[in-house]
Amino acid sequence: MPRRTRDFTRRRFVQGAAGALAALTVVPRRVLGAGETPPSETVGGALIGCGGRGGGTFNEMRDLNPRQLALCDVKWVGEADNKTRYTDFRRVLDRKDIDVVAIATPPHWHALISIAAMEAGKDVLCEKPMTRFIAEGRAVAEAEKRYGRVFQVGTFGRFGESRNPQRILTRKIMRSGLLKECKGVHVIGGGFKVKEWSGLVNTKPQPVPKNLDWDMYCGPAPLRPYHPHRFGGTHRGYWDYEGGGLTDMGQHHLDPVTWIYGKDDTAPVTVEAYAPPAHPEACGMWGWAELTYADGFTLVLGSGEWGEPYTRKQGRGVDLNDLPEEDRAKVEAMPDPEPLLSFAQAVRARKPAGGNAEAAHRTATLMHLTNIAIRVGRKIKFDPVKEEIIGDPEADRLVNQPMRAPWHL
Amino acid sequence: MTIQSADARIEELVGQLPNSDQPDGESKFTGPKWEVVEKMCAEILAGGREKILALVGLLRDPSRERWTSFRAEYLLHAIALHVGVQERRAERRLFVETLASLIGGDAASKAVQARLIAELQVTGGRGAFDALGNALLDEELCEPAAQALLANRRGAAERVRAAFAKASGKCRATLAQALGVLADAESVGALIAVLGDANREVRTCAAWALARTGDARAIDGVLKATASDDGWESTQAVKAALLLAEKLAAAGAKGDAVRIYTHLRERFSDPKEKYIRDAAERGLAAAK
Repeated sequence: MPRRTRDFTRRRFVQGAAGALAALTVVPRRVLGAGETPPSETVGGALIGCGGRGGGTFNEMRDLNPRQLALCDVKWVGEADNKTRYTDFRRVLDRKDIDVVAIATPPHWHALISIAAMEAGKDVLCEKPMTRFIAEGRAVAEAEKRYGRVFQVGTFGRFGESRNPQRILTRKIMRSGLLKECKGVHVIGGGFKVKEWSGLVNTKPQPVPKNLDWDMYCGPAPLRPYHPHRFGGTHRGYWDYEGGGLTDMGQHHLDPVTWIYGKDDTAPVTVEAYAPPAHPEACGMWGWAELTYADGFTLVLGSGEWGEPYTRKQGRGVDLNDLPEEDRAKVEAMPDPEPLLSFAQAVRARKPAGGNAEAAHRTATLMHLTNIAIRVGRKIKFDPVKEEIIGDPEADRLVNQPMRAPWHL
Repeated sequence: MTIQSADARIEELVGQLPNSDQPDGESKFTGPKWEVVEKMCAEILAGGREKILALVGLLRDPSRERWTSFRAEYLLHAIALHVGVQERRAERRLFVETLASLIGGDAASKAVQARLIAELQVTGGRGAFDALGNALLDEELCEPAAQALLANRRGAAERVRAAFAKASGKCRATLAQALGVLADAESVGALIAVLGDANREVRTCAAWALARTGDARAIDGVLKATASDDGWESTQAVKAALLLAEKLAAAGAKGDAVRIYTHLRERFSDPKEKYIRDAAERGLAAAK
C-alpha cells in the first residue's frame, strides 16, 4: 500500500519532476495496445495536485514509463508558465500529447478531475479516497464506461489478496450463491486516525496567500473563508473536502475486504454508527460502525479512539464448512477469479484495472455510508441497486451532495 | 425581524456543552453522547420560536471576529438533525419556518444567514421555499440558497426558474446548473437562449442542464457547442451531447439519439479523438 513518504518534500518533488520533464523516454507504440493510436511515440503523463502524495501517485504509473509533461497545482499562482506548470487542470487536459493523468488533489476534486480527464480521452490513476460522496463514484464509473477509459484508484491491497489461495477460496464461496445465510463478520479495529484527521471548530479566517487560487481550491465545495488548516493535508478534517480519517484510511483498509468477500458490485443494506453528534463542518470522533449486507455478511469498523468498544459480534471467517457437503465440491470446482490487471497492464490491454471505478466506488461507498450514519446519528437503510438511502431524506441528501457552479458531475 | 436578545437558559444549555480541546486556541472538539444532546434539542424546540431565535442569536459572523460561538452552531446543527426523524414533523416545521424568517433583511449578517441556509439544506422543508427563492438573486447567498432548495427537489423548480429569468453574473451559472440538477423540462427554452451567453460557465452549465432534460429541442444547440474553439467547452459539450443521446434513446427517441451519435462520429476525426468516435459507435450500436 502506498503510504506518505515522510522524507519526501515538495522541493525534492519539483526537482525530480523537472528532471522527468527534461527526459525523453521513448516508449514504443505497442504499450498502448491495439486500437489506440497516441499522437506521439511516447506516453505523455501529467500530475494534477502536487502536494504530499503527488510524486508517489505519479510513480504508481511507472510501468508505463510515462514522460511527465505537465504539473498542475492551485498553489502556483504567479509561478505557472502554462507549458509545464499550470494552476488550472482544464488547460492540462486540453493537451493532446497527454495520455495518462495522475490525480493527487484533495478528494473533493477527485471525481470531477477523473471524469474530466476521461472526457478528454486520458486514462486515470487517482489517489485514494476515490470520492467525497456516493453519487460521485457512480458518475466516475459511468464515465469510465462511456469513454472506454482506464481508471485505477491509488490503493493496491486487493492485488496481494487476489493471489492468496485462502482468500481466493473465500471469494469463491461468497460469489457462488450457495451460501444461504452468511455468518461472516470481518472486524477492522483501529488504524483510522480519527483524532489526527479531525477538523478545527473555532478558527479565525486568514488572508488568502498570494500564490494560492483559493476559489479554484474550493472548487465544487462551498467557498469558505481561508484558513491554513483547510489546506495542505489537514483538509482531511472537513466534510467539505474529505471525511476525516475514516475516509482517508478507509480505502486502504476496505479495498482488500471488498475483493475477498466478493462485494465489488454491491453495498450494505444497513449501517449503524456509534458516535457523538457531528459538527456541521469539522469531522470528529466516532466509536464504531456496523455494516450489514443483504446476505448477512457483517463488516465492523472500530476506531478505538472514542466511547465504549463494539461488543455485539465476534470476528468470524467464511469457509467451506459453512456450506452443505454437496455444495463444497461445487465451490472447489469453480474456476479461480481472473488475475487483477495493474494500471499499466489495463492501459495496454484496454481492459478494466484491478482497482477499476466500479470496485473502487463500492469500497468508497462503505466509508461514505458510515460517515452518513455518523452525521445523521441514525441507523440507515441503503438500496445497493438504486444507491439511495431508504426512508430518511436527510441522510439521502448526503448521497448526492450539491456542487458549487460551474462544477457538476 | 430581530433576533431574540439574550436568554439565560439557552446560554446555560450551550455552556453545558464541552469546550474545545484547547479553549484558548484553535482546536478540535468532541460533543457529548447523543442522548445528552437530544434532551437539549427537545427542550429548545418545546420552548418554541423564541428559544430557537435565542440560540441563533448566539451565532457570530466568522469573517469579522474570532469565531467563539461554535457550541451554539453545533447545537443548532444538532437540532437540524434531531428534527430529521420522520415522526417529528411539527418540530421540523417550527425549526424550518423560524430559520427561514431570518433569511433576507438585516437581522442577521450574510455569513450567519448562510449558516442558517446550510441548516435548511440539512432539513429540507417547503416552509423555507419563499425565503430561499428570494435569496437566489443575492450574489452572496445565491449558491447556498440554490443548494438548499435542491435538497427538496419537488417544488423547487418553480423558484429556480423564476429567479433564472432575472439572474445575472455569478447567479446565472448557479441557477442554470440548479435547473440541470432538477432536469427541469419547462426551462428548455430559457436554457437554449443562454447557450450563446458571454460567460463560458453559463454556457457549459446550460448545455449540461439541457442534456439532463433529455429534450430533443436541445440537440442543435448542444451539437453546435461541440465545435467551440475552447477545448474545455468543446469537451463539456461532447459530454452533454452523449448524455442527451443516452436520455433520448432511453425515452424511445432513437432517431434523435442516432443523429447525435452520427454527428459526433463524423465531427471528431483527429486520431486522438478516436475515443469519442468509439463512444459514439457504442451509442449507435445500443440505439439500433
